[in-house]
Amino acid sequence: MTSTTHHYAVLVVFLFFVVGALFLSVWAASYRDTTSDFYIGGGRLTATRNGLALFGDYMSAAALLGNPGLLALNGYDGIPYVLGPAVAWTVIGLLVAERFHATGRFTVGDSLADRLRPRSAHLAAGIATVVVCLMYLVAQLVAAGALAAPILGVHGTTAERVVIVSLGSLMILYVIIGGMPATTMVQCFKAVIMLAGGTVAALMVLARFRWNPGALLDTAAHRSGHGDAFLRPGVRFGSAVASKLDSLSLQLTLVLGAAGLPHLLMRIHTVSTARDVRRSIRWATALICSFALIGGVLGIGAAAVLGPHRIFTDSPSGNTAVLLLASDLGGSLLVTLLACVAFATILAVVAGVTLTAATALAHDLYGGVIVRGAISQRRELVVARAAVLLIGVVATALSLFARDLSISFLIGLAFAVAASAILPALLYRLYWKGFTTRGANWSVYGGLFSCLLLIALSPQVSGTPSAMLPHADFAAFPLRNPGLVTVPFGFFLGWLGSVLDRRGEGLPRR
Amino acid sequence: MEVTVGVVGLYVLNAVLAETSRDFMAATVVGPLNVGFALALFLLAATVGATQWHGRRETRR
Repeated sequence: MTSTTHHYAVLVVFLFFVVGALFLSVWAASYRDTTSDFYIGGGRLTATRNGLALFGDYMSAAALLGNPGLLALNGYDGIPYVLGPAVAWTVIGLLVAERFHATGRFTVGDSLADRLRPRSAHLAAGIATVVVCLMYLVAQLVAAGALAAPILGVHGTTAERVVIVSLGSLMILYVIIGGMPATTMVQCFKAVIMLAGGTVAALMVLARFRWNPGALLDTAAHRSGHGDAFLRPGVRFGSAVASKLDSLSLQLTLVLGAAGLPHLLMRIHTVSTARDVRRSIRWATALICSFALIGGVLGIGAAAVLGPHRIFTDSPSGNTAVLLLASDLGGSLLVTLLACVAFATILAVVAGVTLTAATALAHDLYGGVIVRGAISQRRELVVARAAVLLIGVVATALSLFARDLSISFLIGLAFAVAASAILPALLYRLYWKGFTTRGANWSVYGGLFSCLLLIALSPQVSGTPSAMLPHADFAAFPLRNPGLVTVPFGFFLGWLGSVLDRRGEGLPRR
Repeated sequence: MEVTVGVVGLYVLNAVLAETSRDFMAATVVGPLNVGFALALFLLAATVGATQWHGRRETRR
């Protein structure tokens, strides 16, 4: 990526202006100092803006860089990464959003607590939320570090650490000052430039192939070295039984996990009526599915224009494929544009997830468990801001150690925990009157710990040359993604706990 | 509810087909577009369609 090296000055100037403008607008914005304003912007957001912000909250660096790269290298087998997170919006939009909006005020814990014993509900949901958010945050910050070399043109461990720490502290400060209104602002901004940049790049790809998608597919298959096999299943996952199950497990996790991601759920509370919830979901889904298509065109386009060899030599994971493509299509101007989009993307997601984790700490764990609701707004706000600082510092520190972990592994982990620990309890809470506190505890803790255990025993952690601990071998579980086992397990425990609870008591209890 | 189950069901079916009947997924629809890619495009359209339909229907009620 030598062509971009001398343009990092442009990027730095751009970021400086963006960040300056963001801080100024937050400082100037009318802002009432209440918990409701800090957590959910007072619930006064318009549906259109919330739709944009949901898009901005959801689309991470993976959607812009990682997934098109996987598509470019693996052809058809890259599709699940693009498709799963988009199809997930039928679950969020049709099953979860409105009912979730009607229960609770801010967090998943609130939603569980208004039917179950409040203290254990806040504790379980708070812990699961913090775990999911930390994994998600670490993935985003590691991605930011990995972008340092190809985008900023600076190499080495120190440069990556500087990027991680500066992004992390920037967002801590930003969220502490502005809370949800500021987070919404950066997410809307990011959504607009990501859609614009992605559309321009995708149109340039299509123009290169004379607006003929067939020619694009043909060229990609031809240049990939796989021929027609590129366009059919099997390039990445092979045909062993374990790898087929692994692929299924990943897809199940992707399509269900999104509906359990706490930062999306909290965003649903930022509008006031059920009608606005539906309108924001319609906006968000339309934008997310359009971007899935854009990502598809970019991925296949990268394969067709560059060929897999150039992509693989620059980054074996394919993370830089889109940037290489941009430099080939539009020169340094387009690369700089997409680099800015990539950083804005990471800033927006980090802000949203940090705020959500801090809300879980301050509102669920401190307010709901430690002081049991006996807390003034003023005091909870102080705790919430301290929690932003704590979460931000912990996530940044973890990211410095997690630098070598694959970004898609970390994101897959966060989705798996969300799908196995949060989603079952949430769906039971929203749809089943017989759900009890014991059921909630069993499904949240059971889903959480089974997920973490199976990941520790998976080939991701030990037993293979590419694992975290390549020299150890305690990989007793054959799948890289535990979702196929732990998601049904979480649902089963929630049912079992509730049934046993009621049988023991003789009647439904709170 | 039924629509969600339908779309997610089709998605899971798509995933299972990709693992079990690869020749079917590679069958030609139009030119280089095969069943696998066509299904993926259809699922994207179905997701947008389902949320738009749901939003309008509930608002009219």
